[in-house]
Amino acid sequence: MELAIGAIGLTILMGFFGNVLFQRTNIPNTLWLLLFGMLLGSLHFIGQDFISSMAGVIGAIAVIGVLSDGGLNLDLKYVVSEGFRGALLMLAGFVSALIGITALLMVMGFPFLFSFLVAMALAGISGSVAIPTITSLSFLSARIKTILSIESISDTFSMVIAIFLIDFLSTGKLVLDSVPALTQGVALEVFSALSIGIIFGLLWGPFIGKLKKFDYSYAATLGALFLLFAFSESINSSGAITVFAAGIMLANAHTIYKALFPELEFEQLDQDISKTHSLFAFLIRVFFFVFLGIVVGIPELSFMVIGLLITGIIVLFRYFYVNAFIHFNLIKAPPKKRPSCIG
Amino acid sequence: MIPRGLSAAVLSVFALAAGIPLGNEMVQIVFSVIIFSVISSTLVAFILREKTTAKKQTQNPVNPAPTAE
Repeated sequence: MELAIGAIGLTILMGFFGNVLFQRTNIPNTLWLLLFGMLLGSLHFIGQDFISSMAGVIGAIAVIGVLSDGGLNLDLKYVVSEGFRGALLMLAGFVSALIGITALLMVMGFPFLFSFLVAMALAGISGSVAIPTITSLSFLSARIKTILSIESISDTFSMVIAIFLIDFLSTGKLVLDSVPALTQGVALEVFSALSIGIIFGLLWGPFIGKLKKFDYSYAATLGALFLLFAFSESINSSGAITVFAAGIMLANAHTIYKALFPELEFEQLDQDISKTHSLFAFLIRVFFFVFLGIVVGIPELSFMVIGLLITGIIVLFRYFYVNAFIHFNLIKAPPKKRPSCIG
Repeated sequence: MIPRGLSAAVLSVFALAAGIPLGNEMVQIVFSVIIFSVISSTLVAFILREKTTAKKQTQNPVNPAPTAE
């Protein structure tokens, strides 16, 4: 008991000081947290049964945190006006990583669906690591920073698609002769999830302003997001897409309402709520990486080699398509700034 | 930038909890890629920052200390 509470306290402190270190040295706290988790795992004071039983719940909480935070930080207007090149870069990175990783794993003898799922999980760039790193590179132009930041939201999209794939793989619903029924099912699932998320976001958005006068009003939004996820899953829709759509709507409801009813006044989402939610997402991130370290322990050498090869493939493909983008004037970067787009 | 992070990690644990075949292998592969991609991005950012700082120092050398008149 004391050990577990102590580990929780130490984890939070590790997250905080890791963040301080990140601001000073640019070494992301991800590394320290994973290493700390590996250390905790090697001490064996958390049982493997407990870890396995908690994986689903912890995964679901992390999905709610990551996707709602991703949605809340997505300014639709900004993405539409500035993000074409960023979106193109994101698409190129996403597709090339998907093809490269799938092919590499298949060559190594892994089945196609497994290879594709791993590739899907790894196709997106981590915004939580990339965006602060990009921001700290003061010599980059604002334009390149914008493009790279927009590119870094790709992990949210890969997450949404991969969750579908996991669902199909685990339930065995993915059978080739049932493709039409499957497509229909997926379309219905996406449509219902988007509808629930959008309706919730549009209704809850203005409500947040009214709740603001009460203490801890953020807790109501957080609770509602958990309920929304549970509701969506209970009607066989996708909780992940629902929460993502709700996050986007909560952050952009004022723009949509202003466009629909220009004569009325609508408040933008309170910065405090956004900041508090980011704190929630930070805590999730901290605990999740430690949890992952505990689950994996020290990885086997063969998987480390595969990981190294996949990283090499991602860097190689990125080198080619970033240079292609520069060649076709889709990104204007002087030669000395090109490595920052690639790295 | 190429770092992989929380989303990939969450997905691998999600796959493990869902009981998909080779779930454990997926977690190990994703874990390794997160570590290597984060290290490589950090290294690139570090090298670029060092190069820029060195270049700035060459262009604007620190003013020599004032000499006594």
